Amino acid sequence: MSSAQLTLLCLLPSLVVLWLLASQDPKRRRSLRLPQRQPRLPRTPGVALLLLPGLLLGGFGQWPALLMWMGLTLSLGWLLTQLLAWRA
Amino acid sequence: MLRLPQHQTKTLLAIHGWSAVLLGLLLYAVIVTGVACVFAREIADWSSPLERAVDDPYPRGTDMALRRLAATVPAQYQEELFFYPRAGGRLYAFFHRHEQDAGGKPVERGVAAEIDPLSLQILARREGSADALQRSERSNALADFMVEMHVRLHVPDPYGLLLTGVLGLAMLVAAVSGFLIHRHLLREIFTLRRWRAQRGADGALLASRDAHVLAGSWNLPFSFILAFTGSYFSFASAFGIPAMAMVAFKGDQEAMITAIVGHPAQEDRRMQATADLDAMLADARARSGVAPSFVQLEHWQRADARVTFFLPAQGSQLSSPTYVYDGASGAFVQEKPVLGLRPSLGGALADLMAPLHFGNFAGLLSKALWFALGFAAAYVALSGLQLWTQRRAESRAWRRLARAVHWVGYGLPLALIATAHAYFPARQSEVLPQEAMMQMFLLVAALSALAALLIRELAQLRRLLLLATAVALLGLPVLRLLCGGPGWWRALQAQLYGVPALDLLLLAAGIWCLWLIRSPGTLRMPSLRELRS
Repeated sequence: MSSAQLTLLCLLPSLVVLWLLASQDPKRRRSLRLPQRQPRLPRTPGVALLLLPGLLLGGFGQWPALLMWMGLTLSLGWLLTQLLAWRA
Repeated sequence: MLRLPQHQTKTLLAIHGWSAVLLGLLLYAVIVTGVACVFAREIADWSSPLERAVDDPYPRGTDMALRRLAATVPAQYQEELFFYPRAGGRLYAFFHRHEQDAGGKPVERGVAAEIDPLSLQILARREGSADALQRSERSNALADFMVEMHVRLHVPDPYGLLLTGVLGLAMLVAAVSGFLIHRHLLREIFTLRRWRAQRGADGALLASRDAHVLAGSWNLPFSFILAFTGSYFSFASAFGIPAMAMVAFKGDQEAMITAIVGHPAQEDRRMQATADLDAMLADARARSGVAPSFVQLEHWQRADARVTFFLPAQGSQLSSPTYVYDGASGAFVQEKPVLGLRPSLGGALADLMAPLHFGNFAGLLSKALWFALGFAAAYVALSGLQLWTQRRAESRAWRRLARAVHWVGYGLPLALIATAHAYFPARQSEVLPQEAMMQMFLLVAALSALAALLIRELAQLRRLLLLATAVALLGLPVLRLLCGGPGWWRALQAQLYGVPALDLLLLAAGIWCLWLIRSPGTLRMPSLRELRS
């Protein structure tokens, strides 16, 4: 499997977790005056889940994929926050 | 602590703030040019394509073409040769010798040529020092201009490298201090109060602050990586290598580099024909599965000739191996790390610096990612400077600095795009592209400075500079076409896919600038009237 394919494979679960964390984030909801929700995924296990694919990539020595996964997760996290602020 | 009168403390504070902002503006310039440099190779290919795409940068017959070139090169310059593909796939070959200038600085002097890998004909041939050759560069000049701006800010050595090294350290300090002062980094990582931007001066500042903190937080790991590796490159060339050479090699930098890279073979000055380079290239390709990115040949036509192939990183590796061949027999000698003869931790760390800084370890995907992360870093730098100056906009001195931030923030990308407008006509004429581009850069910088002085409202200045940038971006593909570049249909037929792709990106960027003019975005700065009310 190429580095790009591995990156995308690991990125997908991270994006799902990122979406869950962002959509339920209490500070974001409060600042946008949205009703608070009971978190479906608590923050600490959520962050651990978010980082898990990266740890696996590092553990298997897939360094280019690890760097790309990290870069994409960070870039898309930034983009997602921007989009959620627009939607609100 | 010194007890100073209040007015002196105020003056010192102003000097402190001003110097920080001026350093920040230079850092912004380095980041913006760095973002463009991620695609330096693609920019060179787009600006100077050959008739059709080059599938193989080292086709069969490369050996013959290099020998034909060598026959025209004075013997004194045949000490060393390197060749590698660049703009449009042209094979750039440089026969040279190592000299020292009047100041003791190592200089390479010789004959450089561009070889067309499609026809194996010599397209251009020039003679001189490496610096002089770069000044008279034509096909790669646009990419070189951007790289030179990023690496040295066009300031002569070693001051340019020292300056960019210091700026890299400043970015490192900003990343670490930003991390330390932002106590709720994780808790606020999804917080962006964009809606507050339209609610008076305080709301605009809050939204701007959120936008800055958000981009900075998400970009923090990469800011750290880019700043650290950038400082490493600047300081290693400007300070590290000369200092080590002075301490351990009595100032002989060549001897030091030879020792670090690997022990030189036993010297044997007898004349002996260099083995077939095509065969060595084919062997290196068969062993690695990829074409080398750079080839170096020491002691052309001598018994102690040695050929080193530098290969790109492959598979799950970030480091790049090198293959060494005996130049006289053409036999494979060894695979070695870039530094030293055996793998070492220091060598591995040094080898990591380039892929981490350039993002070129996994083709276009990793490059696009580094581009995006670099763009975010530029956004963080600019929004930070805007926030810093706008928060102090009650004072006239800080208002002037806010004006300077707008001038550099929006004027610099405009001036950089304008250099491409100077490049295409200069390339068609006898004018040296490097000189034309520098003149254009300074002219546009001066014009935008004039606009910054004359236009009262910063929002209006921002709109004007964005409009000019949009026009420059939208006009660039047209100018390229008018100056003899291939049209989209011809480019597609010739498999020059990078040409229409970059044209489309420029057009998209131009449209985005037009959209920014209409949309205040999260970086809306309060007007003076709002601040006073």
